[in-house]
Amino acid sequence: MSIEMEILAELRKVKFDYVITVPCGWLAKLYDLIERESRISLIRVTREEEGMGIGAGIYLGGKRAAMLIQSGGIGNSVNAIASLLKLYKIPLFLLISHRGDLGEKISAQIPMGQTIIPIFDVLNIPYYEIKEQNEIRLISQAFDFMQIAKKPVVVLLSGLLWG
Amino acid sequence: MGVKKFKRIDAIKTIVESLEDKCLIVCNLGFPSRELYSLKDSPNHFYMLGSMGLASSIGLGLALAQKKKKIVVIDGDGSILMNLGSLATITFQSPPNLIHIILDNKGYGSTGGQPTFTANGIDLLKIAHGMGLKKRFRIDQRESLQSLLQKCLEESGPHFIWVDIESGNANVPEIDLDPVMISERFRNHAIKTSQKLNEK
Repeated sequence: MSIEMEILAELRKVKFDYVITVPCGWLAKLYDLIERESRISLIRVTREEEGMGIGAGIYLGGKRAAMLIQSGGIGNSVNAIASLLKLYKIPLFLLISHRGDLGEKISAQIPMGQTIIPIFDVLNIPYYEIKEQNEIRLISQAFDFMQIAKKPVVVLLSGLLWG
Repeated sequence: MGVKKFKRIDAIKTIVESLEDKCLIVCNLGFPSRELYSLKDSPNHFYMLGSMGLASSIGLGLALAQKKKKIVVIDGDGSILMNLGSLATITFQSPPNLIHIILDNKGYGSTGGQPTFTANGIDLLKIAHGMGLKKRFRIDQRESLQSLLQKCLEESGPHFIWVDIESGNANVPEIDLDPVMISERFRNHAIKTSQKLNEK
């Protein structure tokens, strides 16, 4: 099974109703798969912060949403993570391609890619990085943990995953 | 526009009195939420306390998750100008149950009344038009807000309602509720009442 099919299987297993996205080249194949998946609706948004608000609304309405974004998008979302998700204890699942780290080809991604881990640390948000295909099951494990932790949880998709 | 403008707290009162209980209300942070809270506290109120700009986004998420309920967003001019992309996303998702109300006092009312760009003539109806929203309205009277809300509750949206209000805040206290209590009470209410709607 391809990496993308395995990730999709995890998203199905968790029973996400919605996946909220801003594009990333590394995730292009995954978007195509999700768009064809009848059980999951893909929501395209204009910026990641906006998506955090939509994800919060979906949770408050009793459904399940994940954000699928690239790491740079965390930069415009810190206020929403702190003063919406954390303030109200809204668990939103953040599935993020870890740009600007191992496997990166674009130098402009590096400054932000090297900044997100300290940001998660100061926000006190748990994060788990998938580097190999056999670690993709971390997605459903992190989701289960998020239900208990009642705060956003991050799963990073390393460039190493795609070799 | 007409001469008889109305205060924001009166606009919020009109909204609350016009709505049925099966609505869910998302209210912008600062004085709008404080005014709503002082008028009436209810489990179907989500009082924003931070994340300025995201009222319409939270409302869109709710509208998608709670398709059988009307979702009413009480937004502001400063707030929507922070998140104009949200209007494009709303158009693309086109939730029929979303009523997006912008109470425009032409300033940042909760930080001392500094002007927003609607004070300089930025036209939110033209923006909404350009963003593809078909059902858009501009009003400045209590009576027209009342009758428009009745229409919006009966017809499919999304609806975009731009309301001219006076500047100034009512003398109302801070919201003394625990944020987690606000979110859990709201979510429990939304889920419980939607189960009842599904049983009907």
